[in-house]
Amino acid sequence: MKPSTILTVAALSGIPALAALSLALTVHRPHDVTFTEQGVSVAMHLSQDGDWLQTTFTPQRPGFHLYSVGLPADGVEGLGRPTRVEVAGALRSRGPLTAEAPLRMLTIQGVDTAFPVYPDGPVTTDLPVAVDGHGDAKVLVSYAACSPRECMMPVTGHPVEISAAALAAMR
Amino acid sequence: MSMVAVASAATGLTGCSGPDRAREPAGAAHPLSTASSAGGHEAAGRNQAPGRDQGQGHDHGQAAVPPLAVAGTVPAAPISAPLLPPSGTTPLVSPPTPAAADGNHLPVPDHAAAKDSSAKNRVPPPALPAPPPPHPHASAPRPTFATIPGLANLPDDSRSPAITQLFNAFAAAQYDGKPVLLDFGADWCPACKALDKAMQTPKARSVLAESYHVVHIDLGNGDYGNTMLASLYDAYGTYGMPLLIVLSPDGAVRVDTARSGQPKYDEANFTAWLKRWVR
Repeated sequence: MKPSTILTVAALSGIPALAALSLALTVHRPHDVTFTEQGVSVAMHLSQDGDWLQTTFTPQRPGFHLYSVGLPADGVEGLGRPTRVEVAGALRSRGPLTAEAPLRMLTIQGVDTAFPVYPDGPVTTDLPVAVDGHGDAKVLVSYAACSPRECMMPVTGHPVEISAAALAAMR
Repeated sequence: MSMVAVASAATGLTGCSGPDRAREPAGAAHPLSTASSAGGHEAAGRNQAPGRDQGQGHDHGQAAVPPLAVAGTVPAAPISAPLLPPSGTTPLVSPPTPAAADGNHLPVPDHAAAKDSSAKNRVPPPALPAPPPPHPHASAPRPTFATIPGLANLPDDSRSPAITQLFNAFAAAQYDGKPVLLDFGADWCPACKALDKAMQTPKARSVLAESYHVVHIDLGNGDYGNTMLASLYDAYGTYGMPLLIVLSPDGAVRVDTARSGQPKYDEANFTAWLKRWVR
């Protein structure tokens, strides 16, 4: 079960302790691999069983959001840029990238198109992966953070090199 | 100035369309012919004043002086004076006037009196019209890359067409005193599209045409030169798009939305923002 799902269940169950423990699993952990670029802090780690690569995107400024993982590469009518997490090397993806955050359709004054975006603030994505052999892994991260009046420069394929040791530590 | 006005009138309002925002297209490689209109948009590849050459034939550094010969006011030629004998010669003796049939003498022409009267009747040439007062910036030296703040520091391999457009805009700005508006954006950026639409509203278009030199700079394709140009004003990673920067003719920054915040993109608010930074 994905950590984010555990959090959801715990929150719905009304068990504060369990919810707090689950929340602890989703915040940055000491062995998270992190970077910050174009106004977004990115932190990623592997689930303990190694089946999920969890990546949390946190816009640094209020009012900024990220676009849906399902947005086409060129956006909607050329507008917007999707959130992407891709793996290579010792990590292999087993399925599509998903996000637990609800989508909303955003319209901007003066623009006729509506865009599927996540709520303002942090959003966590989950990529089912498999550790494929030994060695280093590479993760390519793409995203664009926007507000209704401003868009940061898009990040396309930001490479994150993860050594075998770090890969093990991330779990 | 007249050529600039013609260019402005003909093409000044066509550079900021939304769908084809003309963000410094790759083919805009006419540095000397990309017109910096007196009051229009500097869309790359557009707004070309045929034959306009900022560097030759029209020195913006000198005040415009009207020609001495103004059409319709050719100085009057002097009245022809009667011939006079040269000094030292035997004065001509007027032949005796023929007797009139009735015996009366015909009047003797009084050449001396005629000479005196022609001098009195001579119309002085009309006074030349006073030259117009020199433009406040007419005496400013023509800008070069070295004189525009920051451009001299750009690496040679970053001299993109957008930078040439910026240079031309400064040349025009230093002539007419209008500020330069830099509009950094990308075609994938929804907020940039919203700004495009705001720029096309009637009131905003009017202010832009009358009061600004606008340079659109595309950051969507990762153009190195354009990115370097933006980095002259804001560090990479610190600004969002659209990035609007208003520059005085001397290159001083009047406002930078990376620091001041974005204006609202409705007609009223955006027009007010434009008017605020004209002076």
